[in-house]
Amino acid sequence: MAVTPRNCKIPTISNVDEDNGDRLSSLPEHIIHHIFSFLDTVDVVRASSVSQKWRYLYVSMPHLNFNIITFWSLLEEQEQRSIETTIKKFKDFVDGVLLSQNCSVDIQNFCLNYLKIGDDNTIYRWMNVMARRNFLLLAVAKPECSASFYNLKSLTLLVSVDESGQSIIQLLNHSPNLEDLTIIFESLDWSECWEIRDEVTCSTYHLKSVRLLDFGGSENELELVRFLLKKGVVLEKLSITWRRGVENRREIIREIKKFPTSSNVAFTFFKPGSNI
Amino acid sequence: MASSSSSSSTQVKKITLKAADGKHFEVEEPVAMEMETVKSFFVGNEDAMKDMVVPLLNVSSEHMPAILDFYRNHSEFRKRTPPPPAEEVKAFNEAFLENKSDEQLMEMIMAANFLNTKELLNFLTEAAANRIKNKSVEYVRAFFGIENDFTPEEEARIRAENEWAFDGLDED
Repeated sequence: MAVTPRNCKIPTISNVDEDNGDRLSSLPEHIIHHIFSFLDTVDVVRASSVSQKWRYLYVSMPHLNFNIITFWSLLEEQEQRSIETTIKKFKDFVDGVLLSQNCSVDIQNFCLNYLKIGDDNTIYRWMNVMARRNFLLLAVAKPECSASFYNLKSLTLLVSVDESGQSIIQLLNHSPNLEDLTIIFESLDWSECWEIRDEVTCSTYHLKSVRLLDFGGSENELELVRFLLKKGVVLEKLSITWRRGVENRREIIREIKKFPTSSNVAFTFFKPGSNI
Repeated sequence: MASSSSSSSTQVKKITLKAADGKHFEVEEPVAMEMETVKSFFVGNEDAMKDMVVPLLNVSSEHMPAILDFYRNHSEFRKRTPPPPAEEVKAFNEAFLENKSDEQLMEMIMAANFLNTKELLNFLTEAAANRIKNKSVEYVRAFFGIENDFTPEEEARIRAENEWAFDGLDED
């Protein structure tokens, strides 16, 4: 292993130049993970045919980005591309990666962009797979062995057609140490009105920052905001990026500011398209 | 370079950094302290500040000016009120990367890792990611300078496992 500079008081020479053939062999694993953390998990899996050393890179990746849009564009050149085949391949892919993930990996980011059609319960299944894995791990392995969702600090969720806010809450409950939550709203119609009862337990004890992107101010979105403000005991920041074409922003802002909060929350509102 | 003028109180203290090949760089103290590795050098050893040369044995002098330039500009961006427009930061970042080869980029990543500065490391690793995004396996190998150590059969088998992942890529 290369010399890690962390906590070393006096810099030392690492023998990087012993073989100049493989620049990568001198790159520590956390750097490779860092580079690939910006990419889609598809890119990580494709990189498994780079070399023996990278054969199982995806198994140890602490950052997972599953994006069905990437699949859609990858399948573009195939003749029978359809939403159904894309979804099927995407499911196989996510299943494959999740099941082969090394259980001791401390997952730091889990990003899933999925299109849910009809009563497809895959998303719950994935959550259960991970939750069960944690459970097994906690029950069987050494207690200090860390389980994935417990270490999840940052989560980005694309919420598309979904019949209830339950899935979001369920996900939060599986991630008790979550600090940053980003939700991207799909501009599709919401099928039903959510009503999230205040008695619902939701572990948001560490949630400090919530970002809502493509926010349209629909009743369901507002209901979720209301709920998160009420439950977020250490919430510091709520930032909202508007969806294009939302006319009554002022009224919506006024309404949001009226919601009771459990902590001192700083609100920020961004123009459509701004990512920060 | 420094004139022998009396050290007025407004003068910024400088720290001398020594790159791998022995070249010296005089750096304003706050800029030098952006690097955790330099900072930790002085922790509990404040006296060492005076006339001390900090050896940075993993950073080549080739990259020092650019790295220092990044720290100077970004710490200025952070301090400025109101914060600089996103375009200005973007323009600086793009210019910073413009003439850097893949190899130089990787060397700078190693340097940033060694200097232990999150901001620079984040910026450079993201730049590297952008260069290999949606590229072929061959391209990624060349980018990192990795030798293909699979037999053709092995490679074919691995590719077959995720066949679809190899369609629709960008031109190298």
